[in-house]
Amino acid sequence: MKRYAVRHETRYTYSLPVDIGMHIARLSPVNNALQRRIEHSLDVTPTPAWAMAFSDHFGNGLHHFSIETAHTEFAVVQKTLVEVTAPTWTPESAAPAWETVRDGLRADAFPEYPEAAEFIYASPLVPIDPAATAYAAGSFAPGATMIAAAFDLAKRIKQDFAYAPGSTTITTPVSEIMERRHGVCQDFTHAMLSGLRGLGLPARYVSGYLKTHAAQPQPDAKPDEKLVGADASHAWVSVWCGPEIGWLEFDPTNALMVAEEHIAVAYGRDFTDVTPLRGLITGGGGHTLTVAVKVEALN
Amino acid sequence: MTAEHLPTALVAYDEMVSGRRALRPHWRDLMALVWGMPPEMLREKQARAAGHLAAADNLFTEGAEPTPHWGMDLLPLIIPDAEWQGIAAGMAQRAKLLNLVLEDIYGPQTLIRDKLLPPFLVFNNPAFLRPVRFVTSPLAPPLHFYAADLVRMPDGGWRVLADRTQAPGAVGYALRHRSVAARSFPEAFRNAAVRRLQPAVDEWQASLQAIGGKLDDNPRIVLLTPGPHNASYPEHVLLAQELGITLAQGSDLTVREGLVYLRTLDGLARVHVIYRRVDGEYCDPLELRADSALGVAGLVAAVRAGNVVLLNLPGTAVAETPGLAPFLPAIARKLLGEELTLPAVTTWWCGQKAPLEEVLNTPEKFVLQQAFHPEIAPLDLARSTDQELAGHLAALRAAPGQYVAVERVMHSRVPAFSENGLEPRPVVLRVGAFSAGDTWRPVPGGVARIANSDDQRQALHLGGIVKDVWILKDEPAEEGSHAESLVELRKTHKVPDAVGSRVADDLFWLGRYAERLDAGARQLRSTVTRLVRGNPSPRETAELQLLAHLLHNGGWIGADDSRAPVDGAVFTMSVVTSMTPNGSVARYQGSLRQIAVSLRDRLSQDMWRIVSVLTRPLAHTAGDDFDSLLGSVDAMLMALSAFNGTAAENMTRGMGWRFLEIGRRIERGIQICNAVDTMFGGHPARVEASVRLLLELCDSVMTHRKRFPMDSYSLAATDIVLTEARNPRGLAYQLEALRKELDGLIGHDPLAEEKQLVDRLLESLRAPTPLADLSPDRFDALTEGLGVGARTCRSELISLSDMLTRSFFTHIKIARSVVFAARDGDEDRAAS
Repeated sequence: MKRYAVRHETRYTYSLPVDIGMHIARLSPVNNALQRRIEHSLDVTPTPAWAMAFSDHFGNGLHHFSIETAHTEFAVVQKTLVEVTAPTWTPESAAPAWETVRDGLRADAFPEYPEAAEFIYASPLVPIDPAATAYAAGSFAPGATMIAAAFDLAKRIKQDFAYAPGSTTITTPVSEIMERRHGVCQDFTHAMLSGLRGLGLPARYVSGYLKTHAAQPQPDAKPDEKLVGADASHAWVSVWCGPEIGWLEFDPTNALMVAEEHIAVAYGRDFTDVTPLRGLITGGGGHTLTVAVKVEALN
Repeated sequence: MTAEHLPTALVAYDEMVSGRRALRPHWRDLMALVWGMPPEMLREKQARAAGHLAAADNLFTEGAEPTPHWGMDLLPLIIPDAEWQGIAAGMAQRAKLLNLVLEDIYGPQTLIRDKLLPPFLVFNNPAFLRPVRFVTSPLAPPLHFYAADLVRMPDGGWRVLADRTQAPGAVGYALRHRSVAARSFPEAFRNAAVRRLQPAVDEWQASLQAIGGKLDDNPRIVLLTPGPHNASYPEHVLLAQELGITLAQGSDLTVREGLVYLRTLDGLARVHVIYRRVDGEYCDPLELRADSALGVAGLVAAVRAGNVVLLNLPGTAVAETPGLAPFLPAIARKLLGEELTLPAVTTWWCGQKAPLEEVLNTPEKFVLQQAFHPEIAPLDLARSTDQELAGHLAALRAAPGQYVAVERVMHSRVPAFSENGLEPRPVVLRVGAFSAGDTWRPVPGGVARIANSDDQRQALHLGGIVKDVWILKDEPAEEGSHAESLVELRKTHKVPDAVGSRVADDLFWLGRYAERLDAGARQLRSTVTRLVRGNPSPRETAELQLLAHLLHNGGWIGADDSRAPVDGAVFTMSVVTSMTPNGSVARYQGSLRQIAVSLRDRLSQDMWRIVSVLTRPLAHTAGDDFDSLLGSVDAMLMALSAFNGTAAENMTRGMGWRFLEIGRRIERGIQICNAVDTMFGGHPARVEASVRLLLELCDSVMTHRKRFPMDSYSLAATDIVLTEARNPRGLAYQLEALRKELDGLIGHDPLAEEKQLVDRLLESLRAPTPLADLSPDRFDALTEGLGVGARTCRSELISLSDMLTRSFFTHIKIARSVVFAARDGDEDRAAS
């Protein structure tokens, strides 16, 4: 069990005053059995004229803010004290064969696991890409268990794809990621989702934060010891491993099974379902955006 | 004639003729009347109906997507009361069921968990709007208005071809067709006990009021329309009028602090209920489609907070997928404990293995439909070539869940007028129902659509011909009741109270454009009158040169043309060209028309007709047929007089009228200034010609004749146009009228700046000028002074227009979307 203090600041500066700004934030770390939210605050400046908290289709916690006085700066600061517990360790052999999971979802019109059914279909940023499916198939030998095969796929992505910040954008398609084999966590996550869904397996996008072992790069640190992402917003994959085990999470950027270093904020089909902040403004001219994330381990 | 209706073995049900080749009883009275009429009389009635329908629609659909031509056939589809009771009960049951399905899909989703509803049909359905999940309101059901397309099978039973749960039209069209039928064929209603639509519309209105009543004692209800560019706009206008609710476009509404408001000239007015005719995904650019310009930012949040009721809830179109049909009977048993009394035509979803095999093995038995794309026409596999069929089946095999197979249906036939008398045509019936508390009320009537020929395939989607639908009462017509049914439309519309900012803006510009057209028409008339005489005298030549200059200033002819010799062909042609269908006059007419269309619900029928005459294309003439051009211009000026007269005598003096008036006065003032500047600004060689022409253009010749009986065209005569406050065509009159209307704009900032501007202009106009002093050098200074004064006044009037625009209309601002996307490695980088 680990405790973290997370601070996430997002700041817009507008070149002209904005008269009205309406924003929807998905910035609150989830609160569940494995991740307990001890303290949480969301500070918005200027003070919103109206705000409302609600849950979305995926069970994520959202906030709506309406700022109705002219402003040239808009900032949201999220501060959370959170306790993360690693999921109960399940031996790979205890998981069902991947074909069992696939066939359970292929059932005639009514899949055996309706709760997972939504996540086998293509979604806006994750089409069923043939190259991604073929790549993923390399990890799913006949009879392989869900956990072993999914973990193997995550490890292969870490090995075969180059982590290259700035080489892609939010809308870089999966087919291009598969072809050029580089990108950032979001791209690796989309590629893995596309491969899994192409095989008929349910998989979700997870957005959140990652505690890097070395917040400041240490001169003597070996590259392998440092998790990529520099206290950053992060993304990884949640895979359905059958009704007994449920969802397990894998990080293809770091070749990890998620344990105590990942802090989940939102779940969805792909990035479009978990956008941290989206809004509509009236006025404003051009804008610049600064983001700062800090994750501090407390024990 | 009946021979054409003889049923041949095992074919379509005939609405009019029974299996024993007898006229069905409910058709007897009507057909006795039809057959008793001379054919040419029927033809004339039929033509008249087409004319009424076109008149009702023409201006509406300006700028809309190319819409299919809707004709109307005068013979109704007649349904006896007993049969209607069955349809109505079936509609109510289906609506109730679909509403429960929608409540579940946007709520707990137990139907999916209980394996009654395939998850594919929800989660792969683009009409399932995830942001709306859990937004269901205790104030109203997600489904409030439901419609279905029905078809009658050869066995006489009605089946559902399609469920419409998005924002379907039905009632407005039914009202319109009833009024056209009643006007064109009043005799038909004399002995028929046709159920009226109005009581249902009244009950619908009461139901909306009751829903709003949970939020406010005096709720404000609006109909949200995509606007005049939508093909259904005429229905929206009519329905809003009949329901007595405000017609609003997305830009008329705004969300503040989670409450929805209508922008009015008196500020923001709270809205409690929105009956939407905008597709769900376009309703809110913040949470739904970010590229939508038709919605209201923050609307979904306002619904979620329970501050407004949005009907139907966005996302209700998820239940329109034909793939749902095979699963509805089991869902009905589970949720209602009932069998469906109005089932769908036999339908299979290809996402299931057995139907997929069946379709792949015997494709010729099926019609293939898209599960999620109703805009793609169904494919009759029996009519495909082998090559096409192979392609369709390959697509089906690749994505079976995207397809639905439907049995081939034989539509019932209904008689329709054709060139050869009556012909049987396949028919589809659209019926609508609204919720009233816990019950559903099907509206007794509907829209029947028939094909242009006996080929039912090309019918029934878009285009084709419509018919009125008569639901007959069991009891015979009461005395005088037919008269009631003739006048289905209320004579007096409930005028929505508040004037929206957009409406005021439109009225202001309607006034300005009408006046600009008036000035142009007068200039063109003066020009053509002189050209028609040929061989202009020196005075006429001077006048024509001034007119050429003025026509160019007003944008009616090009600069080069205005400098060409006025007795030459170039100038003549440019004047003629300005009046052709692509000319400058048509352009201004188009602008006027566009504004009028978006004001459709604010203009009376009379005003509407006048605008339609005013914007009618000028008679196109070959070459320089000046006589017919003069006729066209005269007709346009007559229509403008009618416009002004109707505005003056028939419009309530509300805020809307005031803006129309201000627009007219500003534009007329500007036009007078233009004329004065042109006549005197350039040191005229013949002052007399300038004065004479100014008086003519400002319609002040009669006044001049009274004031200057000696026919003197001295500079002093310009007073009639400039300072004479009693001349409604003069500048002083415009300024005083403006001053008065500005005072009337209450409920706002004092408008001090605007009023001062007008006062300043009035003062300078009244300053004495020594017009009697006619020494040559003084004279030049005087004419130059007139030109300078006119130019100043014109620019001041233009700033007044801008100031008013800023004060009243600019809060219609467009919001932009910003998305912040956090990606690792991207921190501290500016995003766009």
